[in-house]
Amino acid sequence: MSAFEDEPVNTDNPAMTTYRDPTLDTIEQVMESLHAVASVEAVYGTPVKQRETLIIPAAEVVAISGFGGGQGYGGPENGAAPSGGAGGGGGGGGSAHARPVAVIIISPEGVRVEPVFDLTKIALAGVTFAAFAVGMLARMGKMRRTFDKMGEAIEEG
Amino acid sequence: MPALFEVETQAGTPILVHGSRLLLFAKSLRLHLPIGVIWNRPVSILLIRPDGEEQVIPIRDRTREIVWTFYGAIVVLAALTALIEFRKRGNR
Repeated sequence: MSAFEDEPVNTDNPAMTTYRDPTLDTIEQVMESLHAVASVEAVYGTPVKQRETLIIPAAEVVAISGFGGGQGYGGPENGAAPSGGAGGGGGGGGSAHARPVAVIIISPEGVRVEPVFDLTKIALAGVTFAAFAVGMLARMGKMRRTFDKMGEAIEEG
Repeated sequence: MPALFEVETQAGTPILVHGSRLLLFAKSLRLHLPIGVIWNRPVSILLIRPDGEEQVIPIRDRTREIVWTFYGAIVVLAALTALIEFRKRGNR
């Protein structure tokens, strides 16, 4: 069935008669599922029981989403039902990713939180810092030589 | 009109283990921009022992701390370098 064969959604104002495109419903469903990442359940994983120890993973979750849509119809503008055709469309996209942060270990001895290190991220930040530091030191050395040459030229001239 | 951003701390379902009750807390940040952004992270655990004693255990994101330390060091280094160069130019 085409999207345009749906029943029109009537509002109080007959001139505002619009068609509800099923695509928009799909987008709304996607948005709702993305918003589910804002819940506690998205951050803490299912507890895993190992003998007397209970392990709960904890992660950071980031979700980015966006969508847009539009619809229109052609026809008389005197409030009558549209007759010239109608159309609508929408689209959306989103991305979600999770990064482990810590593991909560609950044993008869007590509760402790073990951090999880993302070595890739740390290494990338470290390499960035090292490259920046080397670049800055090289630049400072170059500038020092330039200033020395300028000083010598002034003294000579 | 909705706020530009929204910060919310939520508590999970209590977990009963070894006679203690465990409440997990998460903090979410929602940005209501033309695109929606949700950042959700664990913050702390509330441990309620059988004798009623309560203990809050924070969950620290060590990776983020280390990474931001590096970025902070870059900013400090850049500022120091600029300051040194500025002084050198002034002396000349």
